Amino acid sequence: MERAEALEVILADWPEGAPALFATGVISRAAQHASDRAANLYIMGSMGLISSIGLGLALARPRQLVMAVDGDGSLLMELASLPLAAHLSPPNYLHVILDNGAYESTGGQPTISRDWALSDAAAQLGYRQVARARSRGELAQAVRGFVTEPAGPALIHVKTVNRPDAPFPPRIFLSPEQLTERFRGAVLK
Amino acid sequence: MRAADVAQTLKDSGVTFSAGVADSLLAPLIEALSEDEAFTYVPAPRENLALGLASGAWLGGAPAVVVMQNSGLGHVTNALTSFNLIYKVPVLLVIGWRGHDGADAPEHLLMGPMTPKFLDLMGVPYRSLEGSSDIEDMLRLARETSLPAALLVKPGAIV
Repeated sequence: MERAEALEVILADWPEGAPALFATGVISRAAQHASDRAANLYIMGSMGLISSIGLGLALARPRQLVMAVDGDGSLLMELASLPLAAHLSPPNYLHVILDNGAYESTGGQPTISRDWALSDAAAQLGYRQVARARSRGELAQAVRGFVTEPAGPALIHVKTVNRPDAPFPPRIFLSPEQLTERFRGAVLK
Repeated sequence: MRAADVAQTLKDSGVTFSAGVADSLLAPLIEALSEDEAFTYVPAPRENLALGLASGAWLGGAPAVVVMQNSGLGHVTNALTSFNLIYKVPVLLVIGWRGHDGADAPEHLLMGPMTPKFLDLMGVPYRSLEGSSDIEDMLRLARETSLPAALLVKPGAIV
């Protein structure tokens, strides 16, 4: 599965008005390209913080589903966000990790994620709903499972492959400030 | 100020969510926030995660404070400069000011005098906490600018 496909699948089953945060670099750009929405927030700075921002949002909005779409490199920067999520234990929080084993946005340098059993580790740390998605079908099923019966904190680990010739999706077209305003307008109504 | 009064001022200003990392100067405040049922206080593993939580809370309509020691300023720099300050996500940083007068344990002697310069460099406005009006003013400033602001807490400023 390529990242673009994974995002298509995820966003197809993620409710339109439900907040979704996307990690820095190509993950955000690909999400905007796949399905731009007002309730999407593309966080292009502070790599690694997407999960803690998502947790804070999930706590502040307990009646909304909140998704943080992370990368392996980003998660590795702030691995403590895993026990933090378990400690806070918000049922409405979904943490998706798109794992391509690389820092693609800076030229594809490898991360150290290659062989990790991330969903097992997350379950051991206290995430309540975990899944490893190896196909479009498994991914769709995992996302739907959370959306229909949120029992988080939930984590879906998706290994993706990179196609070196795939074009980079376009830059984020709104400014950071515009993104924040649009996002809050959608989330807080 | 008494920690309970700090907590009350925060509550009166609409803040009930906080996240932070333990600091001896702020221990009375952390205790007050942890024990007050009207508050959520999250003991975050690191200062930037505390800032992430507080930022997420604000995005969800709940203005929040971060409680931390000045030694952690280096850990919030990337989030402040590449997220909060450009995405315009306000937060009040309550920062314990170790080494502020150049007299403290060795690990605080550089960062103490550097603290205000660090905040100046990042363009984060700050004030030394003396009374409740300082808290109200900096919360108002953060809200009106939609940007981070800080309160520096010297030893004994909160008891």
